[in-house]
Amino acid sequence: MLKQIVFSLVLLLTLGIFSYSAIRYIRFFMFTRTGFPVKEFGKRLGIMLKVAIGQTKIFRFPSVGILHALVFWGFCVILFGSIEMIIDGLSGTEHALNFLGIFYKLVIGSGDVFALLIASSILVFLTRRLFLHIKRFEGIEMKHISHVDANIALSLIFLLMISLQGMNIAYVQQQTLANKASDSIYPVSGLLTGLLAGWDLKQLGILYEACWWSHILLIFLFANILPYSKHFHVFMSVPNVFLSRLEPMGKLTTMDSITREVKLMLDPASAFAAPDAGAPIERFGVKDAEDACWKSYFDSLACTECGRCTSVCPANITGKKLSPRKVMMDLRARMKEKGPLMVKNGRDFSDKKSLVRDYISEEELWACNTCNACTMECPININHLSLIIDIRRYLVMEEGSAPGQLKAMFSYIENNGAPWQFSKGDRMLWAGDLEINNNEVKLTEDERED
Amino acid sequence: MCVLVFVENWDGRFKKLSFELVSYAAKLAEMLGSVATAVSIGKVDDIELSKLAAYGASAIVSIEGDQYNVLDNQNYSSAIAEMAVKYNARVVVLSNNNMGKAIAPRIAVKLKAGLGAGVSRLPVSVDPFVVYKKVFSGNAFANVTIKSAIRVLTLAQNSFELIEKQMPVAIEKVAGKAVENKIVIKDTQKQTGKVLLTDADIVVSGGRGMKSPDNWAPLVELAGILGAATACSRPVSDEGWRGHDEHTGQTGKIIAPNLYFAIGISGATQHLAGVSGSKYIVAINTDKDAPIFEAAQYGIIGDALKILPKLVEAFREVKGK
Amino acid sequence: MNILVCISNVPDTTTKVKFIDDSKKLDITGIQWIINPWDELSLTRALELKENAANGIQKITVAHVGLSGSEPTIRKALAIGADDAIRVNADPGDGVFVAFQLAEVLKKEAYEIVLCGIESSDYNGSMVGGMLAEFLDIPSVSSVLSMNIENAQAILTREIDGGKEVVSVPVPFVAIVQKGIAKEPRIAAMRGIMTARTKPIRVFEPKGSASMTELLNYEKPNPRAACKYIDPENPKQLVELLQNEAKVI
Repeated sequence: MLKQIVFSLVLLLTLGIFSYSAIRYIRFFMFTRTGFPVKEFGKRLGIMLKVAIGQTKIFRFPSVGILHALVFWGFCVILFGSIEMIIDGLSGTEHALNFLGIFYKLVIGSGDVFALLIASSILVFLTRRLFLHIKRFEGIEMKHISHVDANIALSLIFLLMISLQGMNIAYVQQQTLANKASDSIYPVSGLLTGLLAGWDLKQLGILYEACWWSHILLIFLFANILPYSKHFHVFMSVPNVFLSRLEPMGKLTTMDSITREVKLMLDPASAFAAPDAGAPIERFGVKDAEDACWKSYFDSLACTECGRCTSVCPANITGKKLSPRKVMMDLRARMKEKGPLMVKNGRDFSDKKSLVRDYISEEELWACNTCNACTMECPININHLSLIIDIRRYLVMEEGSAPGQLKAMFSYIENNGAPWQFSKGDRMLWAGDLEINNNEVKLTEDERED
Repeated sequence: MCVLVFVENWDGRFKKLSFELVSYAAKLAEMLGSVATAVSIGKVDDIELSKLAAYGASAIVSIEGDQYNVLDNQNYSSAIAEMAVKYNARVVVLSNNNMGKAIAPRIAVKLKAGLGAGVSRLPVSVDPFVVYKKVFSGNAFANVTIKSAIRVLTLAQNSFELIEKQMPVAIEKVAGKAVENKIVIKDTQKQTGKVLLTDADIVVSGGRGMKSPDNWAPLVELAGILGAATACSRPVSDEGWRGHDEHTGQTGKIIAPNLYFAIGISGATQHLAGVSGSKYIVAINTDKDAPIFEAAQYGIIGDALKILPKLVEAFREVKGK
Repeated sequence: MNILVCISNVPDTTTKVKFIDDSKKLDITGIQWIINPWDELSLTRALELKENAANGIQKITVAHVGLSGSEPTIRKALAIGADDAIRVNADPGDGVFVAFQLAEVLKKEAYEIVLCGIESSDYNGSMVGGMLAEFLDIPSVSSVLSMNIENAQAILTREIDGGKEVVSVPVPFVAIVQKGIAKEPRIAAMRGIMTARTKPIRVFEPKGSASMTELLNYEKPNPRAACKYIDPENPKQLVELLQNEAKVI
């Protein structure tokens, strides 16, 4: 009874803290821009099953990929056990879901195996991080806190698995000594009961309780740390994949707000004469965190700082300042800084800083050649490029700011109809002596249909 | 009545361009049935001043005074306009260099004179007074009538030859008006040693075809042998391979040397606008379709990096003789 | 302080100029008109100076002499960032005419710095700036390569033969600028184009003053003689030609 009351209070506290975090983030989301309608649920479900559950993109880095996949699948399976522990804690039962029979044995048994697999994988990960020099983990955006964050999370998972394994071993040994059958099979723990040889029932009981409470408290602790850690992706990754951008990668979104303007500009004489469209149009592109589309912000929260994107970025590989990972991390960090200020003072509040220039430099932005290697590589389908393009759009369309050669190119296109400094009159020289009737190209039926 | 010609001095000395101006003014005076009067401002000694008489100056006026140590456009143009009125000038001639561009327009307004800027020949006719000048950055020429009674002309550099015509030396010293200089000089940076690009008769210029700033040595060597100035195209100065002061082209310096070597330069219109006044252009480029060959009189199709050393040797032999 | 930038409407610099009416007139069909490149750079520098609050620039006005057909070019200048514009409604005959008309209007305007490009890419006259300064009876500094404001004073760098000179000049003055005054010209941002529609263009009628020059006709440059090619293996031949044929060595 006491155990139930204590457990309920702890659970309540955990949920309370978690709700606070959730509300905080929801408030930040409400500052961001709408856009990115979510449709085609069937297609999205398919992608989620393949990329998120199936971990297909994680396998692009095969050796660590398999280890991560095991950790992920293990988490999914062990989740079942964790739910049971919460039910047990609240209702004072033991193994409440036991009635599920063979299914129960399968899940809990797998969980037992996964505990060992996950613990081993974590040791590999920690070894890599602490003792090996992995290039992908370095970078100007990877400050000391990022490494501490990663190591703490890995250590917590390790402890979670140790406590789970400990709990299982104690249980099996308890049942053996009491000559009772176990509620499930424990392939790994069953083999490790030797570690507890000589422990009596009372001692085993204490060990079991200790491991049980450690495990569930660690879960509660972990769950509340995650929203503030790079490991937020534990919650955010599967939804992020569900919310993947469905358009082909090379396709940039058009901006409805300037379609009218572009049409006017095709006839320069009228471009300046036209009256205003009516309502004042909001800022073009992204200058600061609140200008970003909600999906970009979601991306930035789901980002786990793995660095696979940066490791395949051709600009980064050839020594340019751009790091796609940094772009996502910067958006997250900026909202973390400005979000609370906006909650207090309103969305229009200015702290005299902005995402562009104070966090992400123009040099980084213009180094991007929009190849989409980053979005192709990201295991959880983060779309770095849409954010980079959105910031560039702000620079060009609001400030007229771009590298000199691009500005020159814009002028040439405007004045000469070509990106180079050739005379407009020479435009058709390439046609040489081709006979083109009235400068029209006649399409066939099929071509016209396309 | 006379043709007044303003002759600038550099630290008390005249340059080839000064004598070209006097030659032009003297010839123009002949056309008008008049004489050429040269005006100098600043400290120039008599021996130097008398050189002007060798090219046709009937009278030489030297305006002196410390106030003219600083180029104040208002003061210089006032002084010259005053002389123009005093000597009843029908035409005032200046160079189309930085000095000329600074003061000729002001002189023109003071004298209510029409300005023919950047002419490269004697007037087509004197009645009506028609001048021939470049327009559209060198893509065309125009015949322009100057309708006013007095005319101001600025002569393009290196476009008129020196004509020796010894006149008796008649120097008049005038004390400049005491004027206040509104311009104050804070700092001066002068290039020393190198042949000035705008003065040079021969210019050796390199473009992107030189591939790297490390390849410039033979170019500099060639310039040294020929006593030429070095120049470059815009991409080269933008990249920082050579200084901006060497950049010739529409957006850089406009020059008109006797001989211009365009090495590894494609010959885009913007570059040609800066050098089309050259009497002779020699182009070296790997691309046989490069536009520079349309502007050049002599061309070598090939790799500049291979050709230059041989060219340097060939010139060295000739110059050595 | 207010800055006034004089702008000229010229054909795009890649235009292959053609003449009509017995070569008396420029054929304007198909010509793309732009702000004179030197003036564009002046405007850019003016905007750069205004952006630094320490310089104390309040307003940037562009001034132009031209008919209503040049309004798109003036709007472009407003889109790039000028605050307002003045247009004298007259055909820009010659440099003196333009300078005189500008001076008449500017006598009633409040400004401290006037910027003019050293030449325009169409007639290369190099005269409007100097003439304007003379009509207004204010100092002028020519061949300006850079302009800064220090302690409310204008510090300019001007080009002299074989070097540069840094000078200070009291306001009001005319700076006649070379390329180099700004690194590269600004472009009109989308936002700028939209706001340009509401910026004012004040139109004035021209006063008196006839042109002092008259353009009689144009001529196309003579086609150059074909290039003589020299064998790359035999550069001596070039030396000989330059010495004996061209006689430039």
